[in-house]
Amino acid sequence: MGALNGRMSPLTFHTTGKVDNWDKIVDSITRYRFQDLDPASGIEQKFGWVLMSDPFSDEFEKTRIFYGEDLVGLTFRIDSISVPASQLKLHLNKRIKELTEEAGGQKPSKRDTEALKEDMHSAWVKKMVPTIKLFEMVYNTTTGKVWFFGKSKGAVENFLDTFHETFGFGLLPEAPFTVAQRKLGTDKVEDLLELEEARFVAEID
Amino acid sequence: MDLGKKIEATRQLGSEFLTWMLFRSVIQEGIFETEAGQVELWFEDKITLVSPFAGGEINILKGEAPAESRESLTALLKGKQIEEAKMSITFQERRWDFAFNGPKFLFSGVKVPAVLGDTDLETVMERFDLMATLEETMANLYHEFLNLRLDDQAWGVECHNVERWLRTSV
Repeated sequence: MGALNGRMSPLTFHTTGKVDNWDKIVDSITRYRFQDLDPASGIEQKFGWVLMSDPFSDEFEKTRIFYGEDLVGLTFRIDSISVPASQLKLHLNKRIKELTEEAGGQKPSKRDTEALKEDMHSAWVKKMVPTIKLFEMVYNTTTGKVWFFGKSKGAVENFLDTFHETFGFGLLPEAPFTVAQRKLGTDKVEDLLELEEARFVAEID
Repeated sequence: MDLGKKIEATRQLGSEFLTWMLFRSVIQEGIFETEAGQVELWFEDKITLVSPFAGGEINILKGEAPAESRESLTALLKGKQIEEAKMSITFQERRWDFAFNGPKFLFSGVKVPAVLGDTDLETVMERFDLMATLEETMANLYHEFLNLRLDDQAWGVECHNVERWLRTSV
């Protein structure tokens, strides 16, 4: 469910700037494209832009990212490797038991156990297949509205940072205040800050 | 005050907006006049009410017209606030179904009117035009609410009418 089909549940933002030169932005999108996560590297997460029409393509051109005259569509791809903690613990306990037996009943120190855990974690990361997550983004370049189809905190934070790096300006979240700002203007909206909370009922039952 | 603090300081307006829409949708039989034209708005089959007091007790009511149920109106009389509701809007003979979270001004599960485009390009253009229309329609309704909310005298009368409606309806 996202940009192309089904019910829509996007986060809505407004840009704090405008694009002057789309050729430069296409270069910038290419710079912040998704690049494959190599498990052997030990890196556990990578993210960046891919085409909305093909999550395995980063061949960005204006004609491939624009949908009509106003809309830019991209997908924000996050690949990550997560080691299942419960399984790691099982294997760690097994190894500790072996080492204890080898040492004549003496358990490894806390420090050695931590080092062993880190080594096992690193070894596992190199063997795991990354999980791919795709989050569509549509940007109306005329109104400055941006819809992002992801809600997890990590995905949103990475998206906001990457959007800022790519486009050179940030995004403001939709909220009662920001919507009011557009409707009332920047001066009158300040009056909302003086309001006391509404009391629909004079005396609560 | 920086923008982040202003956003947090005014989130309750979203809940007030929902309560106001519920009241008006009942007394105006779903019809609202906005700067862009007439809008028909109804509360649908789910509403979430939250207590503003410590502990923040939450009531999630489902079923047929739960927003107008005795349980819901009694909760409002006890000072609970509407946080989220499933709603429908009909504007220019097209209907949207969605859930709306007031304090976040957030839409979810939006079912836009039927899209006619055949290609991905046409589909994306049409779906986001419809999404933007929904957001703008709600922003126009919110504008009507804000104009009233910023008029002390008119808002006082409105609150009195809301209370009278609540007390006569439960």
